[in-house]
Amino acid sequence: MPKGDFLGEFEQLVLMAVLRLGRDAYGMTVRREIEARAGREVTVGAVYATLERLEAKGYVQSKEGEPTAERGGRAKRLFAVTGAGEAALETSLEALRRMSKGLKLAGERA
Amino acid sequence: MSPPRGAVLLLRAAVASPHREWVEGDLEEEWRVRQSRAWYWRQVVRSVIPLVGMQARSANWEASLLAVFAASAGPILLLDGFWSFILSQVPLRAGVVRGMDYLAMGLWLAGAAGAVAGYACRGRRAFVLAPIAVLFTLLALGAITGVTPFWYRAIITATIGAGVAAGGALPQGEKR
Repeated sequence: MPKGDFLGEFEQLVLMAVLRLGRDAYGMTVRREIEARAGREVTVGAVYATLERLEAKGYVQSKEGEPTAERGGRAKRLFAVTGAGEAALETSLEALRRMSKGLKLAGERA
Repeated sequence: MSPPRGAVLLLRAAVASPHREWVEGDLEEEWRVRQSRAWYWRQVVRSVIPLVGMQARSANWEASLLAVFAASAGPILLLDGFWSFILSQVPLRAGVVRGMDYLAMGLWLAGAAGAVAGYACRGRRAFVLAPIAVLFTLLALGAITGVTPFWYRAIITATIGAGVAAGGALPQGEKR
């Protein structure tokens, strides 16, 4: 995999959130999913900027959803992970697993 | 209760359509659940920079051109206009030569604006944008010829170039 195709930590979180959410993945649900599971406060702007970058790389694709009343009549932008995105995520996670294998971190030593 | 008006205006000023509709809709949806002005403001303020950066990266030709103009001619013309206004308020000082503070501000503006534009335009039609940047810079320098020495114009131009190169070389980070 070329150097530029490796995923950053936040890109990994966003891709995993989109995968978990399935058909209901859009900016705010992705943000909530990351906050709930990773315990990290995230802004909707950061999520959109990352999704835009992932889409430019071909790792996610988006389409416009229907406008709803709870959004003040505004449409959602729904995201889905592509095959290339799943492959890139798997490669990145595998690299992390290999790097962390056998490491004794402070929390585990205690 | 509506979301804080100031935050909504800030968001609308910073984010263009169609991104604006998606982001505003998302925030509105969450606002109905939370009803927290502090949360809404925090989301908007911290979202502005990544959203502006995102728009700059995916911008079309006109936006790239605007960034080049902002980086090249912008700082010089802005600074000269500002300084001319200040001096116009002082009797018999309208033609005075600018001091070192003028140079320092010019260098700072040129470097910062160059870096921002370089970052926004990196990898994007550089072979076309570079000559346009040079043209804008020469025009701006022409406008202040006679009120600034040659070495001043040369060093400002070099700083713009260095800023653009530095901004263009920045890695694509994971900033949130």
